[in-house]
Amino acid sequence: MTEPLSDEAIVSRVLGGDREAFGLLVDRYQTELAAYAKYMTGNPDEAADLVQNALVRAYRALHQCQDPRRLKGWLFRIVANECKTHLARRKRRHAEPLSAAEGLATRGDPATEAEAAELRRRVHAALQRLPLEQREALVLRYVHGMDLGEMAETLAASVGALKMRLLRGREALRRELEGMAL
Amino acid sequence: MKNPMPPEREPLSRYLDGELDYAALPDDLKSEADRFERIVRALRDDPYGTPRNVRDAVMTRVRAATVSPWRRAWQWARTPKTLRLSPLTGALALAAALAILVVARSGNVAGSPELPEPAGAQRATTRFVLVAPQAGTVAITGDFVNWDPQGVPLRSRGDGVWTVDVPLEPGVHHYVFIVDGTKWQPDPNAAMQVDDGFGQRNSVIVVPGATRS
Repeated sequence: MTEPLSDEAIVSRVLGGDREAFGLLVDRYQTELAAYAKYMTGNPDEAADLVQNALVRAYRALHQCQDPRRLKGWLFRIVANECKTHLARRKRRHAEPLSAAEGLATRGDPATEAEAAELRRRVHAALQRLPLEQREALVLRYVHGMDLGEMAETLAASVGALKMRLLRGREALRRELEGMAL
Repeated sequence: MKNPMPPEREPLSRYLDGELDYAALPDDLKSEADRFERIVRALRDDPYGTPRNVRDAVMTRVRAATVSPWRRAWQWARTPKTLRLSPLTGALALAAALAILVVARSGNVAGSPELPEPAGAQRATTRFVLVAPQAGTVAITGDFVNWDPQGVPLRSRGDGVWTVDVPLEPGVHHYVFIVDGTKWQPDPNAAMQVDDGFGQRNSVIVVPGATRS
């Protein structure tokens, strides 16, 4: 069985002139990065565009990346920045926040399915209403399973600040879901 | 900052932050932890659908990227070479290097409007300035921070002028400003800019090597 190439080895190949090797990194991380962007924007098409731009930006800056062993966190940071810029631009245009979750259809007819769908709808709608900093902290912690150290590296924030964002984000979600049987 | 969490609820926060095992939670907080876990499960239940695969689009743009002469020159410059000079050429090169050093020490080569005296034995505190009245945030990134996408934040003076002091090692540094998150732009005050190899410009600053003892 062949061991998959490490990020470091792939970066080395790309920097050595093998552009096609960058596709291995795209394959490895695009799903995770797109999931993050999707949760941040609430829109899979926008997420795909943001991840595409972020990966091209990463390729362009790859020759200046001195620690490819931490490539994943570096890529997340680039995507997080793309999302911030995109959301700030959207806010400046006074566009209504996209909320794919608002229009969710229930999955099946049984009452339990309907309840689960309603919870899902309200949780995701509430997520889209949270301040950006709380939203990105909740997504990285609870969707991507990052620990506080990884989050601090990805978001360039202190652990203390991240704990506060998580606390406030959780409280906001809890308030939004008051009255629901959990 | 005031801690909004009463002490008796801190174990719940620590558990939800991933710092405490469920078994260590007081019983009266476990039901609340369970409720939040249900919220997390609903959160993970992705309602948005799968984004389209971006591999082809990314690789098309990667293949289209050209390697600029600047980048080729940079790679060439980093490769050790055997240099053969005549005495006359060597003397001229030495004179040119000294002239550049003298000008740089006077502050005219640097890309920032102000280059303070070296603050330590190895690094010189360098002030970067950007006039951007419309900007909400401004940061600087470059080789000196490993092209960190977050960069080092500049402080607003309140009149549209943003500044930051960055300790830099002697040498040539490439950098850009990041306006409002990810809008990367070169320094309009920089004396020199170079192509980054992908159609954008990096600013260049030269930090003199000599330090005061």
